[in-house]
Amino acid sequence: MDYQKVNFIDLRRQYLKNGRAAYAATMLKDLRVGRSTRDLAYLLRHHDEAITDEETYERDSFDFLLAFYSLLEIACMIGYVSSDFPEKFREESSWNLSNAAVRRYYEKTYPVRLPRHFRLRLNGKLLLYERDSETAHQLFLQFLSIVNYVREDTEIELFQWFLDSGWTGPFNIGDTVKLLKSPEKTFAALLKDPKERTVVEKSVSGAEKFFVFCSEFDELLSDADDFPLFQSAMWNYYSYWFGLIADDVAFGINQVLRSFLRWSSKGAKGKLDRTSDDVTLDEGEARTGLMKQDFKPDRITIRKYVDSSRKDLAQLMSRRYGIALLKAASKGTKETEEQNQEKIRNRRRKTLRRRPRSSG
Amino acid sequence: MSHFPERRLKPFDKGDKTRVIWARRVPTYALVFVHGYRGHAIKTWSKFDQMLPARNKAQDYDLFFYGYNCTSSNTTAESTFLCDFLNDLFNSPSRVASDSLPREAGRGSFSYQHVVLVGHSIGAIICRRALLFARDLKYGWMPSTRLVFFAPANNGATISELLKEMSWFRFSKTLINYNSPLINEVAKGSSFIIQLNQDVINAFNQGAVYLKAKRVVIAQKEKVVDNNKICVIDPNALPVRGTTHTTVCKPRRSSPEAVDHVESEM
Repeated sequence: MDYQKVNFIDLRRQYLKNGRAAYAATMLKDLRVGRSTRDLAYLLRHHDEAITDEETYERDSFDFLLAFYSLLEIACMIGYVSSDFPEKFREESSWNLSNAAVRRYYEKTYPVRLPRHFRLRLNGKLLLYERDSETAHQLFLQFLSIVNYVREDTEIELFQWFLDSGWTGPFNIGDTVKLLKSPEKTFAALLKDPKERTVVEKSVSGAEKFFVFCSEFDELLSDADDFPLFQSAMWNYYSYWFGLIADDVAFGINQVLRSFLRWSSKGAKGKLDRTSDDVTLDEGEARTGLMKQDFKPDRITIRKYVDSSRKDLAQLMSRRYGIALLKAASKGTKETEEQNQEKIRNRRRKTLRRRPRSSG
Repeated sequence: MSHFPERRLKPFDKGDKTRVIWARRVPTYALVFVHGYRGHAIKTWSKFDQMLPARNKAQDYDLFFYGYNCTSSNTTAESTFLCDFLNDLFNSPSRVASDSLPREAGRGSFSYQHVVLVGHSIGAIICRRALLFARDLKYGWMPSTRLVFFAPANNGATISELLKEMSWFRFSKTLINYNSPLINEVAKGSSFIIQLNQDVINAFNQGAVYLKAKRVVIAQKEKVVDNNKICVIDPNALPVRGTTHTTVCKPRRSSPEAVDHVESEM
């Protein structure tokens, strides 16, 4: 079977049919065929209004669906899949992305570019292409690997939820930072079997993995320097985190990094034998046998880590990666509009030429 | 592109940690990477998943990044599971592939002529123990395996030193002592380690030559395992300049030796 066709089917199976996006796709299908009258506008409201747990699950499925369309937009851009989709898929996707509530969700409430670009691509109004090359395809596979790492790890998801001002039960980002004040409790959390970690311990582990993600993502974007449009599209895939709520993310991340700097301050020495009064989350937890000796911070390693993490974050949040797609879209839309205008003008000219001259 | 994107081997089984990179054309061989203590199916082998598929020899290989419980389990249990996995790989590969291989790859039935097992640190112990279990169970596929080891912990490992190379544990100058079944098993000089080495030598002397590693790669700056005498039946170890216990299995574009070593045994 054709390379691009196989890739399309594979991506659709991975990220739509076998994934959480399927739930939103089914909801939209029910609306499309009149089997449901669900008020999507209410479901997809801004989270300033309280959201129930059930709604959060449903809203997440819409995020996954939009993420799937975003991946397809990137895949089309580099020729990993063809823009010539099967008609049924094109029609359904176009309907889904044109649904007023969904559109408002990704264009106004939480504006992200890629779903919009994909809708325009499906309708032939904006077809952005990076040069097709095997290197770009290799980078895309790396990108998918990063995407999988983040989307399949519930601890990263939890930490991201906290960064996004979310709460789980009585816990939020403040509790993560509190726990991180204690080197002993941090190490104990990371050493625990993931299944036995408390909510806050999970968020600490998620934070550790989130830093790995940031570093790898920044490295990937840097590797994609020769493909500015593709690079920008990959950044846009995560623009919610590094663009839209960048200030919240930066605030949370800086609090985490400051905890480490406190470890390396003079006062931190010997803290490991203390029950850290300010950390109240693990009371009653069995204490591990680790760290009987004084904690001696490796100041140089901590400093290097903090500096390098800040650098990665600063790059990702500088928004410089977002510019190429913005410019290309604005130019592309203009060009497509001009082409459409030209087509209309041509049609008019032809019509005029065909129109019989009035006699006399 | 010679391979599909990486994915979970069993997308419907949340507990399964194994990742796979399927070859696009019908494969003849498989590579199975087995990580060590606190490792991750793919991250332990960082960049292998990107650099290896680009090699010519890899085009006929499915690449498995085996994942297992390395925090609360023990090497005996995990070796048994690996043995089961290898048995499935040899006897019913289509079934192994059924959940995640794109149907459009058009494979039909296929089988692996040989499987290269690549183990890092405690992963090396698990690989060997899995082959010993297979021998006990009188499976027939073991001669079709090849072993490649990176910094093997055949003589035990000092986990506190390992932690010092990992993640946020690096922030402590003090060694982190921690108890878990697996750590106690692999402590240097433990009865488990002594027994394993004895079992390997005995089986080797009885003709199980597949237990001998084809290649052993070690780190230059090793603090976790003993580089002096890895295992009497193994070939001379090949050091990689500038690497530590955790980086010896992580190739970089500027230093692809780890990939070269694996490719040599493919």
